Amino acid sequence: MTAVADSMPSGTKRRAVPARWMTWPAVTYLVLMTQAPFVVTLYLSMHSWNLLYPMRGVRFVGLANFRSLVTDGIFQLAILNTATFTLISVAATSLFGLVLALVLDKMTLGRGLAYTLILAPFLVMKTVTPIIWKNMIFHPIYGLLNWFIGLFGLAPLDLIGQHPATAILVVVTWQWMPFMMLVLLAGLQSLPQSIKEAAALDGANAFALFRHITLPHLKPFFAVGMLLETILLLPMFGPIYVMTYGGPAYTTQNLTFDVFQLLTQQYEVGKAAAAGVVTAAITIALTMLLLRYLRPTLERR
Amino acid sequence: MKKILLGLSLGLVLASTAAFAKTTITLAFVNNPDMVILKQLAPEFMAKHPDIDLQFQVLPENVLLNSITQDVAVGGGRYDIVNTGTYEVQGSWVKNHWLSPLNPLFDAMSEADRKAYDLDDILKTEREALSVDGKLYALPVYGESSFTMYRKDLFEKAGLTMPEQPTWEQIRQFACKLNDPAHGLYGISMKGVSDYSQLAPFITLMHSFGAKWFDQDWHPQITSPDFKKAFTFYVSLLKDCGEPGASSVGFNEGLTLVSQGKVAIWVDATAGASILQDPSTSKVVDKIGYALAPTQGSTNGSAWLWASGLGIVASSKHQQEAFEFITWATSKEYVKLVADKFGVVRTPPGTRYSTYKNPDYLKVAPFAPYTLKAIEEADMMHPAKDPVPYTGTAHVDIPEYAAWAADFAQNFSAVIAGTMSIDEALQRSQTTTENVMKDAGYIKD
Repeated sequence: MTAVADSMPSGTKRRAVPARWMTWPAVTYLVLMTQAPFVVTLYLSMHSWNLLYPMRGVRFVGLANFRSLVTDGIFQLAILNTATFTLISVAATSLFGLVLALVLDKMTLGRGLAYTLILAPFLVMKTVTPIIWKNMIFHPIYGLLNWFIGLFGLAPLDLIGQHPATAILVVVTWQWMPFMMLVLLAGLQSLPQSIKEAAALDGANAFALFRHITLPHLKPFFAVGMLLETILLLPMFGPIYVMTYGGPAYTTQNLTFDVFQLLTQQYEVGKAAAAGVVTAAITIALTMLLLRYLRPTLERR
Repeated sequence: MKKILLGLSLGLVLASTAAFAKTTITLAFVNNPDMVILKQLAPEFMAKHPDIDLQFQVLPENVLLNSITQDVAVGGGRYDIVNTGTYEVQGSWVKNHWLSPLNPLFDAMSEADRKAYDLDDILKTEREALSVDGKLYALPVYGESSFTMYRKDLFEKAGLTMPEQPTWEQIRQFACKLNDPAHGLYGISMKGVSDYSQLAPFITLMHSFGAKWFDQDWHPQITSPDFKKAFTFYVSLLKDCGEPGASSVGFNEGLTLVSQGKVAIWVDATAGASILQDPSTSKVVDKIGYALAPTQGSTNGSAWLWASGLGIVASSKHQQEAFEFITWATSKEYVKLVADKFGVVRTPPGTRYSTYKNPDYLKVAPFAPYTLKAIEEADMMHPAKDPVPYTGTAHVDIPEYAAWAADFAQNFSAVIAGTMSIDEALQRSQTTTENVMKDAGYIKD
């Protein structure tokens, strides 16, 4: 250490050196805590291990777990469902979040109250929301939804049974809409008043102002919101567990739920680890892709 | 100064030896009402056994089972006493040597203690359900079977009489006669959720129709005519005269519907009856009549048998202390303690003959004779009309059960939601089950 320090020419660097090695314990801890579980998962994903058969032990099977997953129709459906849930909910929250943000931005009276009320769904615990929707709104006998459509003389609807994916999407959108609203509202409020005034002086109408000034200004805010939502919604679990249990017939089973089923119901540790690795790979790939695509818009600011 | 230090360290040494003398027993429990009572009464046990300290780990059933299985399978050694049901005992835990046999511990008991415990007082079918090859592996804290619960007031108004042991055909007639969705009343409540641990009502109906999961060579019988007949009956009864939205109805949802007076007939766990008698949660107290579980040609397997038992983990270092606790928690003395402290109606059901001879209990629990009869008649070892290679009335007691039953439950729920045809569901489940059984080596070609 002293040799390194002596070779340093200037006094400022001399002080920087001990600071660097002093971060090692923290870095080591961080690497161990974040990477060790993933390494273990990788190791397990190449082994066959069922907890219910202790006599069979842990056997190395190479890529057999991955091969059986790829050919498994349920796993393919889970990938498709994960994509659908993530895409639609991100798109829907962006749209509704934008509308809400625009309304709030224009509001003068009661804005604080409206803001608090709109934000509330996001603050409710993520598993409590689906329980409430399932039992108080979608319930075919007691639910508010059926009371409401009954007012128009329509037949009662069992939304969770008939259209389970729609039911989940409604709940997730309701839950995450405030988050997008929050991000976009921050964007709207950072738009300088002078630009808007200048545009108005040039004779731009409200639509042109929105189309050519507001939307381009919001682009990086959309980018951040969508990126975060994708990362957070990809492993969605609560609404599926509470409302549909992945059913009926796997129509709402996503990757996370598939891993959960493999591990905690079939005790297939190896297969569950393999499914976990695939999920992680998809998430990382998607995030990189999004980041690459969004980086120009983000760095422009 | 030295003297003070010496005194302090001596005191510390003494204190730590005193702490070591106390044995800590860790228990893993399901958070059902009976177990919660047991936890509340545990200080009584600790007062009598000052050398034993009890630590509780109380979790919901599915989470608990995972936690125990994972811990025991990898030899984690976190628990000394665990909640085990009949399925765990019969399915794989005993085969995997995860539980200690209790017979040697009973043999080592003093004559007086053994007499006071009175093992023969524990219901015979429950004892058998927790035994493998004549050895006992758990003691029941509570036991249940399934039976028919119906609204006496509605039956009377419609001029109907429920027989002592109805057939499914009769249940269908009653349910459809009383079904009145326009006034928020449904003929029957049945489960349709895609969670395989809630399949028991379907399984008992299927067995009562004379159908079975497997033939003697472990070939799945899911596409057989008998199975299809039972499946079709279940689905059409539910569609014609059952509650809407059944594909998300499990035990708790069904219980809510019945307790709110929305349903005329419910065939489910005997344990549900005591909740329906509780005025704080139920609007139908004293309106419920009871009958045995319906049959349709086979009484074998027409009602299930379940026990929530306490077993000792084989790797636990405190076998004797653990045994002392589980024998206390299932003793006559404990049953009396619960009745004294929490009211007679909360007496742990389905465990001891003496409970069903207690006139105080019979007075507050009108369902008690039916519970006893249902448990005594449930034959877990012969669950189907024909001879079958498996045991188990609410499950099939093999470790592979979850692998194919989870798939069956998904397809079952889709048929009930109306998004899959009966033939397609049965064919899919047949294929999955065949694959699982071939992979596991049951079917040899």
